[in-house]
Amino acid sequence: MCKTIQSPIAGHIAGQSDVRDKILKDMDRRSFISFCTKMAATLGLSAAWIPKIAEAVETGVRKPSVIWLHFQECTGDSEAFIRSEYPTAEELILNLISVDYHETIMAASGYQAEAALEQAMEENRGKYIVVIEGAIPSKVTAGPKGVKGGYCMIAGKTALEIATDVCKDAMAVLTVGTCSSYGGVQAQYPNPTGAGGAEESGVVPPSVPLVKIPGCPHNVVNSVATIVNFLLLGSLPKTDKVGRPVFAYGKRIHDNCPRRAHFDAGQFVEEFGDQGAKEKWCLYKVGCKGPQTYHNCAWVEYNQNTSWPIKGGHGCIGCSEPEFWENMQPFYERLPKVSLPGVEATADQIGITLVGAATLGATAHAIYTYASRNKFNDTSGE
Amino acid sequence: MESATRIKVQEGVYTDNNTYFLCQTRSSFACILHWILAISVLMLGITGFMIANPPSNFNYTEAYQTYIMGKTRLIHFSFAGLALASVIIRFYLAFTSLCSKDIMQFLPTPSNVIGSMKLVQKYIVLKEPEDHYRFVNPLGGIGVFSIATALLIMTVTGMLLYLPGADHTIWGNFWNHSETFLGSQQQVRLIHHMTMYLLGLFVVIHVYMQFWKNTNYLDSDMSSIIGGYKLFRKEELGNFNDQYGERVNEAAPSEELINECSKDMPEGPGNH
Repeated sequence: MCKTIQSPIAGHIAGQSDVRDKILKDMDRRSFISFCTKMAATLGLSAAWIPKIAEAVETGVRKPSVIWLHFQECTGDSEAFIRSEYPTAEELILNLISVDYHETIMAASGYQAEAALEQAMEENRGKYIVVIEGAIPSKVTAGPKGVKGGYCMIAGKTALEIATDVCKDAMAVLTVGTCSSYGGVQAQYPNPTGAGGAEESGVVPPSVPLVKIPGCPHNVVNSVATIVNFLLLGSLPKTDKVGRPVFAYGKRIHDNCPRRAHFDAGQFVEEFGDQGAKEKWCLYKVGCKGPQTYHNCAWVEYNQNTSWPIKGGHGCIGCSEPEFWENMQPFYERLPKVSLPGVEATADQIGITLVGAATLGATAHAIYTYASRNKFNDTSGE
Repeated sequence: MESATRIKVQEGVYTDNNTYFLCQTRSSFACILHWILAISVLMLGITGFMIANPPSNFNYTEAYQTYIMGKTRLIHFSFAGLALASVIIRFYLAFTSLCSKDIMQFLPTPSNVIGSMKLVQKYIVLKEPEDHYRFVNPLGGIGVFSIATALLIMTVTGMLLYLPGADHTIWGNFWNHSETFLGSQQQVRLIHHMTMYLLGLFVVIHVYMQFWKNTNYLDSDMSSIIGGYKLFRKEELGNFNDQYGERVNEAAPSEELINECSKDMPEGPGNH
């Protein structure tokens, strides 16, 4: 199994490509196998695929050029990205992929940076991967000289123009984070800038495949696994109904939750800080959205497998779901509130009102029937 | 039904004194299905409430020592299956059963809507309706249609919560598209929860109406849902608004029979 792994690492056979030397320079064999195994596990592949992953990563023949675009966002996804451990961020950025344009981490600035973008597009036309971070506004700005999408401009160009230009010649588009995938918090009501995800903004042509890696921030394991999937097979992973890779977003958090046993046992945290919380019981009653959220947090935790919200004692807020800022509110209750004209109430309040009104009506009708019993059954009609 | 003095007038209609007629309105199997559904909906409501708002459990033992929520869910899913099965079989019977080729009476057709409005008017002014219905009356039919719709919503949303489909199979795609149509799992859950209250509303109205009718009218459905038979006075028999009767029996109550039954009766309320 380890033949393809051992030969370049242990043997230092001469004549291998620079790419492979670079990627393996600072990585010992154990870490490398660890990385490959983890990628196989994340992608849902069997152990038989580990040598193939190793081979694909070693040879790096398809080392793709990556253009990373920032729009309306908090750079949280770049923060997550540069905290990758297997492989480390520098291996990832320099060797596994070729990040040719990334506004936050690139050395160049100003015209030089713009030139780098144009050069990368020119050299790899039709062959580069675009990673989009942040929502794209498409509303016309206020005032007489309204600009469409003018709420986010970089170097005199709107986000809409930049994204459309860059995406039209891309081989594939990866949207990392919930903002670029579904619009995020800035796209929620009343959405003053007309923000939306890459797909809603229409910047990605239908011919270019799009994979969404939502999350707030996204888990870097998932974006790296998507890239490894690409290196391995030359194609992007299959996606679910809202464009997320099935290997990472195919199952609900609740169904793999480490606290699930407490759910089945009926042991719930009643309020934060109580004995149940100390016992690490289920957070269902304090508004955990794990039962409604498709993500793989439960088995690939954040920050190099350190932790994730439910492990830390806070319920899931459903950050990988479309429009979660609206749909998953309130975060500390199980069900969303129901807005009726002039009223905002919980589902239970409305339901109890309905059933209570029916009961009262029935009682009133019964009393009315009893009071009019003498007139009743006067079948003559008149 | 085989009493010494009881005479079979025709298939499913019996009399013993020529004043009261006992008419079969549904098969005993349909009666059993109704009560299976009733018990299932009751149990689904109770367990559903327990799942939505689990009771506090301060049992500081290891999680494996208790399985209360798991059991509640098991009961919920079991009764959901039972309810679904009973609805599917009843739906089948509505097209095929000897006494229940009655799908039309459950659909909100114009005649059923007009009939329901007439009934509501009579119920409010506390008069006995002029038309008598051997089978489900139009208001009841629309009620059944409402509960069937609510149960359909409950089934789809319940299955989406139970079996979230992410597989690229026909089954998975169906659920995926349903879920996309309804929103995320959170919306599905909200719809499931709200529809439960609609069902509760229906149950309150349905149960009250049945008791009320039973205490005030002779042709109550209370006996028919338990035994399958319903009592009519002779003049009511002559005044059947039995638009589905011919679907049930090879021959509807014949003109001769009705004339014979009502020849020495005063003019019925519906005859003028």
